[in-house]
Amino acid sequence: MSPVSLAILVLGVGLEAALIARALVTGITQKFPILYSYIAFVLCCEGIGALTFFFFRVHYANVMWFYWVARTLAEFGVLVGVSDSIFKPYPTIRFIGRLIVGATCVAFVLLFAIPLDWNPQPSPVVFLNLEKFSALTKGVAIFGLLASARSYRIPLGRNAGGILLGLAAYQTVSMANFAAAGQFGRTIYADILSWLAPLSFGICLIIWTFTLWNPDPVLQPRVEATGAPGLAPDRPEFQLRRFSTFVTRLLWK
Amino acid sequence: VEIDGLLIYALVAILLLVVSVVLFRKGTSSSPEVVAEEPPGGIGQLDVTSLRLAERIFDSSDRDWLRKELCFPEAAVVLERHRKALAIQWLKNLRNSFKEFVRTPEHPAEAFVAQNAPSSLELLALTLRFHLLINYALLIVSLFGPYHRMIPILGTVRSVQRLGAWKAGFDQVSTGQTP
Repeated sequence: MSPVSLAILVLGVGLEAALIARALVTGITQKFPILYSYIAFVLCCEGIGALTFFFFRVHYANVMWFYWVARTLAEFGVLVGVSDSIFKPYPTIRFIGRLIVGATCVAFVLLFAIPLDWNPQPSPVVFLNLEKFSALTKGVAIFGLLASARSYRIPLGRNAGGILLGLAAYQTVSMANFAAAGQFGRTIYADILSWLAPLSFGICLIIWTFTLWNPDPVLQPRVEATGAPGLAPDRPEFQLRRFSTFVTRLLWK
Repeated sequence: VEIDGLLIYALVAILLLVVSVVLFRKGTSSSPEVVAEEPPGGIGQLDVTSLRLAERIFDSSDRDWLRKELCFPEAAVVLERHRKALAIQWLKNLRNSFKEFVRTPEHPAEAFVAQNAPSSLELLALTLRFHLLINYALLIVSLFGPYHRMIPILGTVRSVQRLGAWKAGFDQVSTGQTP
């Protein structure tokens, strides 16, 4: 391990610990439980990885492989968690974030993961391609979430927006990085990959530290003076059906 | 060719990052108060007046009257062009009203009272259905104008329905039943 990558790794561990410690003080963990579980998971796995590297080097590759698979899946979970926090106050589009993330996941499996050459002993290029496609999928999902929030003019908030921005930086740098690694091969690119991969997550952690340091104020929802809640005409499904009926009448003229 | 592949990934990465930064800045700069003060540009309350206005815009009788009865085909063309712009504006305003309705947060008391309310998935399905309908209508109006039949197969369906009704009536008469 080169001194540069070691320094980046130490910086990353420091930022992860600082994020968790600050979140315990401010109580923001309740708002983003999946994100903080993910950060804690990464922190623990980095510790386990370091121990394995120094004391059980034979098992290091296997440990890191399981860590990588779990982390890739967990990042999709983080996206779902953030999307829930963005769209939760809006009942009609509460699950739109899950739909976006789910649809991109399915597209990832169908378009990228299944067509890869899955031999009993897959080559490192397969893993690099999988990482590249996974990063591309998450990047597209982040874009979908941001664009959807923008389309409805929903305020993102500094916290949720910062999480998505950090993940976007991490995934886009990872995508370019792993594409280059697959292109140039181990002999040329291994050194660059060893410090650029942790650096991309380090950038993400720096963005998260800045945007999650102070929790967003909790805004009270607007109270519409349209009658008592629970009455049939005000319920969202009636309003939604009325909108669709308007257009349907025009379509069926 | 291999470097081209890498270049494409690099460009996609840069593009995604730039777009994400722009959307982040826009999403965090607009506070809810600012959003609420924005001119809505929507239809507002959905009522019979709005629907009558839409039916008038999408009704081709004025154009036919100009063209056939008054024999002003040029004026009919101008009217159609204006009605097309009006129709597009009306549909966009309906969409804006819809978005305004969607971004109204749920009041906690409402969430508590509505016991037998539909699930969020059903509401999402209704939302997506509206988007599908409105975008389809906008596409058809933009391409063919407000007087074009929105569902091309509808004429055939109606003919088949008429044929079915006529056949049922014929069967009743032939068997001696009063229709």
